[in-house]
Amino acid sequence: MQEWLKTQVANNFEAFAGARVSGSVPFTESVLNSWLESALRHQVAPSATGSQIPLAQLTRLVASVRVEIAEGVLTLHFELKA
Amino acid sequence: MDVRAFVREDAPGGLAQLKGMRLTGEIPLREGVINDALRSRTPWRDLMISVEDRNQIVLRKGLFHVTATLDETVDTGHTPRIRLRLASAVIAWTVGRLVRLPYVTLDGRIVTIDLGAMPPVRDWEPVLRHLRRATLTTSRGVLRVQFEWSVDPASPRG
Repeated sequence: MQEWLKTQVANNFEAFAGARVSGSVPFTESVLNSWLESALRHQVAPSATGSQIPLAQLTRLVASVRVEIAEGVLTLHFELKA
Repeated sequence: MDVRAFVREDAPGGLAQLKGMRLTGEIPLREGVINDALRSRTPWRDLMISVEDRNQIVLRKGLFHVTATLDETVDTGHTPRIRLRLASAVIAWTVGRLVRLPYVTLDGRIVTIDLGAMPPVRDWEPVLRHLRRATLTTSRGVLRVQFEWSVDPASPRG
């Protein structure tokens, strides 16, 4: 399955042409801080990151993105289109 | 970002760190993509799917083939379950003899596949349990998945 996913990423998700996903993700301060800590740790030891989401490739699919910040929560609104 | 590790870590709390997250979308899955995914997994390696109009699918394994109708609505009660209605009682009887998998159940001509128990999808069971609605519709060669997914903002366990 990992190989299959890698193939889709390598092909820039062309097989999913027409896909649309939109959503919003509220990140609390504690989540953001924990992710930052994790990101910094993995920068030191990249081999320890394990299975990763292909963020760089996903950014090619971003049709819109917007951020709201209020009372310790950063909310990311986004729309992806393949 | 190691998403799998994050899900594992947050799963006991029902993805509480993501409460309030919402996703909606439509993903067209083409026959080739589905078959590539099946080929990457045993015991489905030799299985081929043809997607036809009106939620009809044909499953082929060697010379054996089964026609079935996919239920448009995915059961999202606990973990998602997909239901198929087999075309005939004879086929249902044969499938009952051949398919012995813990995540596949057969009741008459109805086959139910519990995605939450199916490897490798089951690794994502904590994510799947937040699926609120999903529908499956087909046109020739394409299976369209429409979905709504959210982590309930009011409950720490979603």
